[in-house]
Amino acid sequence: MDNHSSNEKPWQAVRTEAVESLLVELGVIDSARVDEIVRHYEEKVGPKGGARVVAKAWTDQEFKKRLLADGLAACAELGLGGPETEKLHVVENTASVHNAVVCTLCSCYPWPILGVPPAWYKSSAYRSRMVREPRKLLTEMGLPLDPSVEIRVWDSVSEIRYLVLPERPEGTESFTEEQLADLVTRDAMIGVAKVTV
Amino acid sequence: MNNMFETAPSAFPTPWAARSFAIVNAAAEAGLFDLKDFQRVLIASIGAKEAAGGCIGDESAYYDCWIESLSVLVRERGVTPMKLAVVEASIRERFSSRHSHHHPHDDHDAHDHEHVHGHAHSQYEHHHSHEHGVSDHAAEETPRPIYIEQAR
Repeated sequence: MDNHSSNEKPWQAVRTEAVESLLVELGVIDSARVDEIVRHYEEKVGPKGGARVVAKAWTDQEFKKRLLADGLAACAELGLGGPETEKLHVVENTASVHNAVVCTLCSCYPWPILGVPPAWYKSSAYRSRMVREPRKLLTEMGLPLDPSVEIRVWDSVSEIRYLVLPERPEGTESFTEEQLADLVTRDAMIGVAKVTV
Repeated sequence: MNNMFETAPSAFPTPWAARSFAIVNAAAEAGLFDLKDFQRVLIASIGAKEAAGGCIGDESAYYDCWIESLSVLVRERGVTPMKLAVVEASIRERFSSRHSHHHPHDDHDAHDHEHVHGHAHSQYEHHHSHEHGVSDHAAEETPRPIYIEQAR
């Protein structure tokens, strides 16, 4: 980080402010709405939404069926959703199949269910390696999978986003839905981690 | 960021990144463009950066593409580069003449201490090609994995 005199603003900050002020001037957007969206993504939307979906699917077989058939409709039952996602396809991990999600071209991600994606999801390295050597990449990310497990990689695009339904960890038979939801991480729902107790 | 797999503590790396993210959503809500239009331009921007040997290694590289894409769409919707440059100049002017008496938005930005590159002339250069057709890449009736690494 440079510690030069800070009477210069980063060009990106200048550009952002300029675009905002021009769009406000043109009557296209309203700064209060921009504030609201920032707060929404910073405070209200995040992986906890997806974790509730997963925990419910683990405890309610009928819900799970509906989730696998139509992800968005099932998420809407829990009050999750938004105009940003048209179709959500939920892929279930099993003992023999592990699913992982990538957006090879940019950063498509189910925002209303998981919030904004982590930095690494948008990186060139993740996006290119996940479709070339997922087993190696997952191992480097802390998820060594047994060689007997098939890895399916799903390419998230604007029309269709994916959510991984991780395996329910053993020893959680007595857990409530809420306790289960607390175990489910964002990374497990992208498919780069497992849920553990 | 030292480790690209590190988990960031907040949703956005900088205040301007959060703001530019929200502006895109607000403008799409208002119907200035569709989020899919934005995505097409973002894909082109990221693709051009990577094709030129650059890489998206951290949040800031990613949001650079984001803000450049927003600039492109705004220009396509009638905000001329000249107009944008004039507003930017007045923002810089206000910022440097104020130093410590910042506008509330500036408080955060002042902490960024990033290099100010002379990007004013270059931001529109790389959006002419690489229009990856989103429809080529689009969903089929039954989704299929893009890659399968078989069990051994």
